[in-house]
Amino acid sequence: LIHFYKRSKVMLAKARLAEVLRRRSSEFIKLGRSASTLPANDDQFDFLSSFDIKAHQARYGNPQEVWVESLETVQPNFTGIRQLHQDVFAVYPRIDLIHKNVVWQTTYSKVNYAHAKTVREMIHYFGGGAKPWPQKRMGRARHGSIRSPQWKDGGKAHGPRGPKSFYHMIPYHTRVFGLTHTLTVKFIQDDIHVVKDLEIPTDDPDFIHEIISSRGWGKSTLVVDKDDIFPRNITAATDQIKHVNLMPLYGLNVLSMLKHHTLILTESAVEELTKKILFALNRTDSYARTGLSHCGPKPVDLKIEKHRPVV
Amino acid sequence: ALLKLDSLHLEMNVYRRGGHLLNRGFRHPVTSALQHRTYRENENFSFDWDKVPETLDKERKKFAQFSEIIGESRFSDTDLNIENIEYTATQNPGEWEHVQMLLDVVSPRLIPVPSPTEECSSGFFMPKVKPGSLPYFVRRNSNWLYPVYSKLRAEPSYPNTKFTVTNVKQIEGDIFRLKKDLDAFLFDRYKQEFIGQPNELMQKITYRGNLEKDCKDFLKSKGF
Repeated sequence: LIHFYKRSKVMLAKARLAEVLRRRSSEFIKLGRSASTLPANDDQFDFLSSFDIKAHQARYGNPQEVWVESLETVQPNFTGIRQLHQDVFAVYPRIDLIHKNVVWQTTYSKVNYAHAKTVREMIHYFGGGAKPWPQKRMGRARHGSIRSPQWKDGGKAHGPRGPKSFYHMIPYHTRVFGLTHTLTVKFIQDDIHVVKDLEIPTDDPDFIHEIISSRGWGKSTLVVDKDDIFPRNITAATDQIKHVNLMPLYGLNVLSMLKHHTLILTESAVEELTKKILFALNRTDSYARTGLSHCGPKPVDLKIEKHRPVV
Repeated sequence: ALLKLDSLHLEMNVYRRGGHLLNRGFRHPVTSALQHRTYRENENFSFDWDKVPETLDKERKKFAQFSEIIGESRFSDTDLNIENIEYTATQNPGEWEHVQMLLDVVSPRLIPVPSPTEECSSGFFMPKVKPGSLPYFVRRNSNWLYPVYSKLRAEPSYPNTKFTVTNVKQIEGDIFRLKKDLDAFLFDRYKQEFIGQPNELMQKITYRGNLEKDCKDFLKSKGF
């Protein structure tokens, strides 16, 4: 009877482990939705198109100005000037917020698979639950099993137990400020270039290399556009170059921005980014949204808005 | 029925206490019933003479309507039985635009920006001063209120005692100049010096004591 319960106990632990890992993996799938600070593009009620940015523009201070470039020629080609919102590109930079975001990004998907078997697990897998010799009259030390910690091939008493995940969420506004502060730092250091669109004449990688050297862009570039479908030529040209990466706006994150030397944004991406961040900073349901980060993804039963999900 | 022998029980507790399964920083989700109450906890301070009808008959009708909708569940702890109400549900995307228009007025997704010339009886006004005019500038909240907050802080050497602290946040420009002006303003009022700590990195000043109203009066006088 005892052996039966011991076996079921170990099976229970195994089943529990599997269940936990399954739950965590499903949380990772949902994580994308709750972790992304910028609302999704496929919002059924497309309010961002009707969002009047002028009411929130240039409230305090002067808007920053940036050249708008074109990628059609190798030589620098400036077509105009664009204004950038202060709350997105000109905040008082705080390195501790950037650091928090970087640490979170590197550790939240980390899993430590170290697992040391205990005495009972060693007995279950390799045997040795019986008393090796009688207690007395042998002239030997007294032992209960050959798998206790002091034995060779014995179990570990206080070792690492099972897969341990380092999943955690930092608050919603910390992540929003992480984006704004890294963008300001990049802007202050002249590492942001705004581009009209990503049309280039050839699909030759050398064209990209020439552009980077002639315009003084850094060793690695991150090209960000609003949609996730890019023009043919630039995808073909940058396909083989590992330090020039294309990214849609919904993938923008602090770690990528710091890993790449320069950041190239299209005009449409800048517009969409300002709208989304201004929404994130001035939203009315911030209490519910911060609750999502704290307690995990779950439906919010707001009395008035049953059909409007909190994103 | 599970028999819990002593050694097994201990081990089950070990697994249950289970730091190997729980995450660092894991939080148990709060039940939705506690977070969003749809009924009143008690009937204290809920009586309003304006809502009382003029005649007895009207009061009776109102109570009949009320008990029809809610019924017996007003005396129970479970959720309201709202399924008794008859309604029709439609899924017409064309019609939703009108609903969206109403929702945008009632519960807008973004905090609306009040007009600068509007005069309110509460004394609220939009910022009159621009960032360049004074050596410092105090931004408003996202809700267009002053960023002055009071909170309790634990005394480090005596953990059971707490004292209040006032934060003036969102300060741009010369913080030390603002602190000087604030100290002078408070000295004029109370004939007493208050301990304040300027923090340039975090763009805030922290005062000992509950000086929320006084700081707000100062900011109002400056026109922030």
